[in-house]
Amino acid sequence: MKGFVISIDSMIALIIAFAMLVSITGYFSNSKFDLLNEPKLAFVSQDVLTVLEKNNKLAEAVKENQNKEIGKCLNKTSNNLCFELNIFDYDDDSSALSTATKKGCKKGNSILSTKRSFFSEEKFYWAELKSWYKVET
Amino acid sequence: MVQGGNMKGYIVSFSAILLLSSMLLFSMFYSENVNSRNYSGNEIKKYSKIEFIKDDLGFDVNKILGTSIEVQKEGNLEIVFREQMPADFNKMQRVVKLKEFIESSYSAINNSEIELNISRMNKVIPVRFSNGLEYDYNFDSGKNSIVFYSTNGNTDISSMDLNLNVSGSSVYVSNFLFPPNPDVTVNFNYVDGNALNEKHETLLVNSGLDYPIIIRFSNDAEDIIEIHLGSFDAKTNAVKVWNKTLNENKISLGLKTIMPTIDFNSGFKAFVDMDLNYMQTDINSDSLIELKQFS
Repeated sequence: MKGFVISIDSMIALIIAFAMLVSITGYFSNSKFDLLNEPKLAFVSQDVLTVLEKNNKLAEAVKENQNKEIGKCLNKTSNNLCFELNIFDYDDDSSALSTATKKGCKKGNSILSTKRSFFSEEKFYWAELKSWYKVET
Repeated sequence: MVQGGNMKGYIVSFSAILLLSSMLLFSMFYSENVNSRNYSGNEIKKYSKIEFIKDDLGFDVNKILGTSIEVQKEGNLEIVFREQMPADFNKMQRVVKLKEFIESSYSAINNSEIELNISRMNKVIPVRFSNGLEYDYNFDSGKNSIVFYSTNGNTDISSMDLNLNVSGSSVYVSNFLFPPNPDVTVNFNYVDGNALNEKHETLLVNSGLDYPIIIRFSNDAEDIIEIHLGSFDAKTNAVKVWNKTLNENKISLGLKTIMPTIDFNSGFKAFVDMDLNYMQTDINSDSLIELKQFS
């Protein structure tokens, strides 16, 4: 009888201990600071688009029908970030007028999209900047 | 001996429970902390998006209106306006197009509901400064004018440069006045197709009195550019340039006003009198379109 009680007792103790360990592991595995990376990426993307518009690079890209200058600006950004910029016409946004991708960037898993409008030659356009963290291969 | 063994068992069990409970509490606290930081991060992201949208639309409005505004602070507050009168484009048409763009495509691509209220822009596009100064561009039936004044009374202008380069040839420029007790110095530079009427004068103006300058382009009494300095139309120490020319002669205007008594250090901003209403899920923001923040 004593042995039985001790066995039951130790089993209950083991179950409680196991449950506590599972809870602890669960809490830790769900607690990722990685989620903060998205706001950071959003801020950088907003900055990149703001600089491109205020330096007239977006309007020039539409006017001169080329995206070299935008590509150069994107290449100057931090090494761990990847960007792809597409420009669309407000009157016809079925396909991008221009696309520029940062050198050495392959599409990542979690892509953030930021948009900014601009005015050029009596027309409104919007630029979509897709951004993601570089995946090291 | 048995009691000692029991005691040992209690201590081991108690220590294990204590250790696991501490670890559990720590993991709960850690998880809560991370979640609250992530929540704060997402909240910051939401609010930064509003600021980003306001900045974006403010820059677009600034560009479509075509009025260049520069603010310098070198001892005194200096505001420089550059303007074409009439502009090479229809300002109001551009504003209406911007409203359509914002309320359709722009709202959709930003997954928000954005409205631009331009109902107060009837024949006038006002740029308002945070300290009560106001710059109005009026476009009433082809007669364009700009007025710079203060809604708080006196603009406190101590001196200004007024540069006008006009297309066409004038036939007459009115004589300059010599009002009593002048307190504002105006460097007036005027050029058009008639070299005989070119003027580069330093005028002494009494800020409490109207100082009109009339430039005629034909014998028609309505074919004129009318300039008012000082006090007029219930405005004190103000400036008005009114293009009434029948052929809509183009004026390239440069106006630099110097105001020594204005406090510049308390977040000096310029707004256009259009309401921008932004709504997205739990966030609602209603504000005037901010053209620039000068710091």
